[in-house]
Amino acid sequence: MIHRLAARLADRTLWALTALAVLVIVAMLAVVLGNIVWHGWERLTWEFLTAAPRVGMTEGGIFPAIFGTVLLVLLMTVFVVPLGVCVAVYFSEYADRDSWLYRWSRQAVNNLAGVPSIVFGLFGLGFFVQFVGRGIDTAVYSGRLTYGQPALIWAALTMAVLTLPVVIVSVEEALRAVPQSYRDASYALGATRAQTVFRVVLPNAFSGVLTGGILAVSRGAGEVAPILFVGAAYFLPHLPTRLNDQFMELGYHIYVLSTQSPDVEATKPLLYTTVFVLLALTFLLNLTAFALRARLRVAAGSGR
Amino acid sequence: MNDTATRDFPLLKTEVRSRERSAAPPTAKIEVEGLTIRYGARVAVDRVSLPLYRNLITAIIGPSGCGKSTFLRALNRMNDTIPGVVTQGRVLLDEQDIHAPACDVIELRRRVGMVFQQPNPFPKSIYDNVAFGLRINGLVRSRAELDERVEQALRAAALWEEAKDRLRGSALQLSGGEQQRLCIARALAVRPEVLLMDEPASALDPVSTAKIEELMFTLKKDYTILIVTHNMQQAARVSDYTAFLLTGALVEFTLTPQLFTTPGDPRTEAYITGRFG
Repeated sequence: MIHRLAARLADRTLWALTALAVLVIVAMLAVVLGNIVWHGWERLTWEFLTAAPRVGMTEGGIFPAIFGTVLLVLLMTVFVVPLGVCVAVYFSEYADRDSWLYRWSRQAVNNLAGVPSIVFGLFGLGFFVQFVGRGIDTAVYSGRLTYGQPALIWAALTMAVLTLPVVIVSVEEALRAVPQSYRDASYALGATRAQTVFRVVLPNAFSGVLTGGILAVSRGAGEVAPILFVGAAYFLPHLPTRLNDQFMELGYHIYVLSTQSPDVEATKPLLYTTVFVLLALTFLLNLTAFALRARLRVAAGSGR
Repeated sequence: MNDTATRDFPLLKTEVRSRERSAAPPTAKIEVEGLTIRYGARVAVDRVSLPLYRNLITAIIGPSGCGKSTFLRALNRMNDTIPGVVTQGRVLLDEQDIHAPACDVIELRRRVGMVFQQPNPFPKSIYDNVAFGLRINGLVRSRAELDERVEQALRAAALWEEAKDRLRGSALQLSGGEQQRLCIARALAVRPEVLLMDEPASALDPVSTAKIEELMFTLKKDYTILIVTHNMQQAARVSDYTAFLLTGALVEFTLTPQLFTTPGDPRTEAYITGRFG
C-alpha cells in the first residue's frame, strides 16, 4: 500500500516537474516577446518603416536597414541555393557512401554548421575582401580600391557560406524522401543519371529546395557577426546601388543603436521597434517556409 | 493459331483457359548463358542459362528470394544501379552481348522495357507519364507526333478509354490496376522489343490482375515478354514457357503445360504441388 502511494507520488512529482519546465520556457518566451511587442508597437509607424534615421539616430526610421537586409539576403540566396542544391545532389545521388571524398566532404559540411559565426566574419574579411577583392582590384582596376573593401557582395558571399549547411541539409532531406521507385522507373525508360536528377528527383524535391532557401534567409537575416567586418555600415546617407557599396542592416543597426547612441534614452523606443521589426520579419519568413511546405505537401498528395 | 483452348493442370488442381502456342518453332530473342549474379559474397543467381523466345511469354517461378527479380533486372542491366552487384556470364539480345563495352545501356533499356512490382507512376499527369520516355530519348519531333505516340501507348495498354478524358489529370488519381496499366503504357511508348514484368499483378486485386493478364496476350504478338511471378496459377495461365528457379539455380525450363503437368524434376513437382515455398 505504501509502495503504491510512493509510486503515485513519484508519478505526480515527475508530472509537475516536467510541466514546470515547459511553463518556464513558455514564460521566458512570453516575457521576451511581450516586452518587445509592448514597447516596440507604439513607435511602429509607416514613417518608421520608410524613413532614414535622423538626428544621431534618435529620430526617423530604419528604411535603409530594412532595404539593406533584404538586398543582402536576396543576394545571399542567389549564391547559396544553387551551390547548396549541387552539394545535396552530389551527396544524395552521386556520392559513393564509402568513398573518402564523401566522408570527408560530409564531415566538412557538419563542421561548417558548427563554426561560430564571428569566425565566418573574419574568414570573409580575410578571404573575400583581402584576397579576392584585392585580387580583382589589382587585376582589373590597376590597384584602385574598388572591390578590396567591405562591400555588399562580400557580405552576401560570407553569409552564403554560413547558411550553406542549412540549405544542404534541407535539400538533401527532400531528395532522400523521393521514392527510389521513381528513380528506377526513370532509369528503366532509358534516362541518364542527369535526366533522372533534373526531371524526376529535383522536381519532386522542390518543396525542400524552397524550404532550404527560406530557412537560409531567415537564418541570414538574423545574423550580425559575419557581416561586422565585411560590409555593414554604421550609417549611410544613400541606399546601396552597386555590388561594392556598403549597406545598413537590421541586426547590425540594433547593435549600433544599443551601443553607439549619443542619447540612450532617446534611442530606446527606436531600438525596441527595430527589434520588433526584425523579429516580425524572421517570423514571417519561417511562417512562409512552413506554409509553402504544407501547401506543396497537399499538392503532392493529390498529385496536383 | 491463336485459338482458345482449355488447359488442364491436375497438379495445380486448377483448370485454366489459355491460348495455344504458335506452330512455328520459336527463335530466341534473348539468350542467357551462364548468368551468375552476386551481391557481395551472396550468390543471387547461379549459372542460369535459358532462352527467351520471340513473341512468346516466358514465366519465371520460384519461392521468395530465389533470385527471380535479380535475374529479370539483369536483362536490362538495372542491377548496375545497385552498388556491390557483380554480374558474370553472357546475355545476348539479338545475338549482341549486352555487357559488351560497345553496348549502350541507355539504348538497351529503351529496347528492353520494364514494369515493376508496385505501380510506380511519376506524380505527374497521365500524359506526362507516358511521354516521359519519348521526351528524354528525343524520340519525337513534333507535338502532334508526341500526342499520337501517347495515344498509341495508352491504347496498347488498354487504358485509352479510361484515360482519354483526363490526360492532364494526375496519374496518382488512377486506381492501382489503372496505374499499373499506365506503367505498361509508359514502357510501351518508347517501342521496346522486350518487356520485363516483375510480379506486375502482385499488388492488384483479381479483376485488375485479369485485365493485366488479358493485356499480356494481346501484347505478345508485338513483344517478347518475361514475367516473374510467385503465383503459379498466373504462370500457368499466361506463359508459353516456364522456368523454375530455386536458390538462384535453374531447376527446370520447359513448355508451360509440360512443366505443370509432367515436371521433370522432383523439386519442381514438390513446389507446384505446394509442398514448399
